Amino acid sequence: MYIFKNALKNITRSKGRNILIGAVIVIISATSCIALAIRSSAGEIVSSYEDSFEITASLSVDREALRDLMMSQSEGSRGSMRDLMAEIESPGMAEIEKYGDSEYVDHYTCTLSIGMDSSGLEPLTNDDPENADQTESGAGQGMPGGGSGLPIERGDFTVIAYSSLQAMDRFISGDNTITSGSMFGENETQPVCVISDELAAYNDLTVGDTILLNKPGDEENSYTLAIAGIYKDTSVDDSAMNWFSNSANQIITAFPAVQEIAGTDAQISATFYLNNINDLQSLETEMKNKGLNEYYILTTNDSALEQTLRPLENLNDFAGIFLLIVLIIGGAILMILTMINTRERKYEIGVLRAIGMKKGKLAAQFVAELLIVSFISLLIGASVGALASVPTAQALLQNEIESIQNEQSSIEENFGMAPGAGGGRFGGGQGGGREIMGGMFEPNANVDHISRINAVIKFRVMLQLLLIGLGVTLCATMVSVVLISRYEPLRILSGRS
Amino acid sequence: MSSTQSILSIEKVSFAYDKHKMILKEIDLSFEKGKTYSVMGRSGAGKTTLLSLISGLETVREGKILYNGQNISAIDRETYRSRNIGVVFQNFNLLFHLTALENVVLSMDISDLPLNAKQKKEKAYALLEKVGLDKEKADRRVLKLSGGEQQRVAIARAVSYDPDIVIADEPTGNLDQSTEKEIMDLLTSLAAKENKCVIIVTHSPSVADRTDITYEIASPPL
Repeated sequence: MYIFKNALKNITRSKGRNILIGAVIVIISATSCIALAIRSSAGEIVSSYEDSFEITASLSVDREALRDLMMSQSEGSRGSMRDLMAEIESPGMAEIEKYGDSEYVDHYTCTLSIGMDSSGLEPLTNDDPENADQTESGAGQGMPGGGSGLPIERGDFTVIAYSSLQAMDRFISGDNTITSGSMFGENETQPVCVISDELAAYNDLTVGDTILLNKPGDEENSYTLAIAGIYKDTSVDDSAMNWFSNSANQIITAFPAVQEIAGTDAQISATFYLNNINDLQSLETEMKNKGLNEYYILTTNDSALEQTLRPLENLNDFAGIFLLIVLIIGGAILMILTMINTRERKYEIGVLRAIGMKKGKLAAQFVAELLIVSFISLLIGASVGALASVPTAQALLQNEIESIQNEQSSIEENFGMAPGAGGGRFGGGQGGGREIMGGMFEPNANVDHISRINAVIKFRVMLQLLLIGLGVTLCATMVSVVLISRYEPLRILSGRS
Repeated sequence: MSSTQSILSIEKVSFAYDKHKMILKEIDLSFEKGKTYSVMGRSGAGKTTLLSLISGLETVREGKILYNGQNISAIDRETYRSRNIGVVFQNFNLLFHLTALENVVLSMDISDLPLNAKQKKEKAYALLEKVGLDKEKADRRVLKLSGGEQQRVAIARAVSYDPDIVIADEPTGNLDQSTEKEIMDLLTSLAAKENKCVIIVTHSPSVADRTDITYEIASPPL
């Protein structure tokens, strides 16, 4: 067809102009290719990670609501937070089972805990007795599954039992490892326990020894537990400040043992494993309908998920914004170049129209010229983008991770915390941090960010690139089409005369 | 004049670029195939305007122009210009980045002549030969041809698709006397030998003397 033939001829006639247009399109397509590849890969990784991530929810006291209640009371009759919290009845096992029986819950685990004293054991204490944590909040390092937030009965030791081995997060993650003896079985009925190596060393205990425990203030009634195993807490390093670490005084035993020891005095905390992160609100509503106290709320570990994915999501957002900017600026430059090109060829347009060439065919010729140049440039740009996408994406992700880690370190330094000391009183959850001080920050020095992204060019990305290239080119050609439709041959040729 | 055999009729055509200045007032003209016509008048009389109206480059607002009995306002003007009428512009209006041959072939392409590329090329060479340009000049870029040669290319382009009417606007205006004669020979032979209607807009009496019929356009009264 002569239009296509003429288009090719015109492209070779104006090499300089078309090389300039081609260069702009190469830059647009290369950067778009990289951005699209990043977004595609990041999206896949995020989606895959979210699908495999276990979203857990725990019941905890709504301290803010309690605070509001406290403040609403008149000054004379105002109680303390502790008193208010003590008045709230925490859910028992029957309630936990009722809440766990939900379409939104995949499965759930429980912990029972109680504070105990011992006449024969010496607890590991803080360096400064005045700063020692008098009552454990039931949440902290070594208390996975969250806590209700209500104070446990005071005692030198915390006797804790898990509903299943699956609930022992710290052993599953490897933070705690058995160094001597073994963990008891899930259905253990015998009074056995596992203690920390620090406690064992401090009291010169080994596997097979027995320990005598009693409830605080009740020395007459004692309970004997045999040491089945000794574990080491590998997550605490020497630089951690002592008064943040309480796991040494934990004594892990079987469910029946705690139930026998504590009866209804045991503190129960449950972790519900949700089917989908979006089910949290529905689950909370269902629990309220099933009788959950109004001052209880569900908190999740989604902050850990968010923290893990944060660099990737930031990169994804950045790539999207960058793509938009490139398309807008690149598209504008292309439109301007096309406009200049068309205006420079006004005489040619006038002559062709004067000898009978239709507007549509003339416009088609100009469109064909730009499409040919665009297609060739798109191929070049895509090749460049394909080569550069993987290293660029990886470099950007690393940059993002370093930036986030620097931000976290800086925050921890400002608050006088050593790196990695995000646990203890303020830590918790699955490797993530909890909101503190009104949500100002979340110390998460130990978060494992996703650090690898393989931003290869897939078919879908090529298709998106092709559509983008076509879109940008057609937008630019609209300028030509509009100008051609407005040009009158007689005016052009008369003006030239 | 009877319009029964006219290929082109202009009936009561008036035209003004603005309402205060009438360029043409109720022009009635008739043109037949096989004859040469000259359209004369003083500068500003409206000769070129008339030519623009006849070629469809300007729209008729008052009156009508009939081609083969059909009002040109009712037909597609681009098709009319690419198939039925050939225009030789005063400034040639050739595409300078193309060769003489390519200019002629392009005109054939635009008019959708039922010939393949090779046939169009052969025809173009023959036409250029006929107007006095050999193959070597035919393959030369138009920019590198003289004024008279460019005029010949313009004529070859205008007749490349065998139109019924050929209009030439001051075809000899920029040429010397001897070239003027050659160009006029070409144009008159189109009418005599190929039965075309040739209309020449000119202010030169010597050119008018070579045509069969001369129409004088007078400026309308103010």
